Amino acid sequence: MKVPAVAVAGLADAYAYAQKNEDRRRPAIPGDPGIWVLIFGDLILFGIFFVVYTVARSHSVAEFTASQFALNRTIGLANTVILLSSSCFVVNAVRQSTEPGRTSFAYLIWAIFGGLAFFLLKIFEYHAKVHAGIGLNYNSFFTFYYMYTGIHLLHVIIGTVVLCLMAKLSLRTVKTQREITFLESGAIFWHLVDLIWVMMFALLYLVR
Amino acid sequence: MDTKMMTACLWSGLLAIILLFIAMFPAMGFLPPLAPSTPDDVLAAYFRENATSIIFGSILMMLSSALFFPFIGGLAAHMKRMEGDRSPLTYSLMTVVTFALVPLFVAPIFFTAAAYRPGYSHEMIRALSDLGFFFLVIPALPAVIWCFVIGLAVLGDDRSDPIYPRWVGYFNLWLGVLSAPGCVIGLFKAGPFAWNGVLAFWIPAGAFGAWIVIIFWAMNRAISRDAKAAR
Repeated sequence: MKVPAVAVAGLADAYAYAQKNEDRRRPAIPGDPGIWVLIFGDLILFGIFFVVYTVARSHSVAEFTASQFALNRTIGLANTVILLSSSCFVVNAVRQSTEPGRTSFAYLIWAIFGGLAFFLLKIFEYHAKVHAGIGLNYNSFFTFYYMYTGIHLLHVIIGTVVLCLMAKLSLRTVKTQREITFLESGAIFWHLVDLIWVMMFALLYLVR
Repeated sequence: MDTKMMTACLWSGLLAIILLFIAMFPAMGFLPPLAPSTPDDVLAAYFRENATSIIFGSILMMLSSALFFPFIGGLAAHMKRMEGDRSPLTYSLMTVVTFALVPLFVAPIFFTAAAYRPGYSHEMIRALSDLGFFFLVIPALPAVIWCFVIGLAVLGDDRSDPIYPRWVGYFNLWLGVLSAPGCVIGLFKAGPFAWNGVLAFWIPAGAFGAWIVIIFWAMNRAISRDAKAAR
């Protein structure tokens, strides 16, 4: 169980990074300021998604609850842990990005593995559901389940591609301010993907 | 001269969205859209009784689809400058945009056909009307790529004072992902992902309105800055 130890160290490192930035008196907003339009826009979008879901659920609580029992919580939880650890690797990668050496690259490769593992587990989960005869139009809960997790999966795919670009960039020994900003912006997006999943996991899998 | 032409392109987009709204709302009565679950006879009666206003609304919608092109032309002119000599994203925009805007011309043709002969059977009117709604909403899919290429061009602009502010680029990336659910309407006859649903219709439609307003603002800003610099 190496991951939790790394995760704890990662949080400490993130704190140290924030402190260091404080000392350097850099602007308070990490990443490209414009990316926050995307971040808050997505939060509003998924906020609307969750309200629509909650309203639909309140109309047929029994059906939704019964359907929720059919979801595989173990895979859901595994995916949550995977994304949280992956986010932590990204934090470390950004922290190391100004240092020479390949540490940052290695962290990003671990983060990319996280994205791929999430994707594969999700496909396995869909496959198992479809195999059991539970398709997109099985009932309204499963329409929400497939569509919401599908739109989130689209975010995971885009995020993983961004992580690959970040990994390529992290190999450069000297980075411009613009490149560092890209690394930070990509990291912020990956945290968003993580945050949305945590909310979605709670709403679809846990709240019955 | 350049400024005048760019300004004309700019206003063409605003006129197009206003015409689209007039076509959809007061003329055809498609806001909210007719539910996919409407019974055949009720739907057919709607097209027979409102034939004139539906055909009139269709004409406005066709005009609107054509007027979006000069707006995109102006936008592409700015994008070309962001990209420089080689401009793959600008060419991508100009081609992919036809996938999203030509259906806006085809959809009203199906609505016109549905309203054209009152003697058509219920099923015939239903089929034509279904096609109309598919052509109206499903092009959200090419619009995803449309938004992405604009977003990437804006973010790739590495001038110290970019032509469009960087947040406009991120806004386009966000809009791209958000429009995607419009393409799934074929799978659903009710609920949030049907063609009259919150997530497949209202959010992408509202977002498209916001897109026009924000691009209008960014284009206008760039045009007036150019005019100032030229003086």
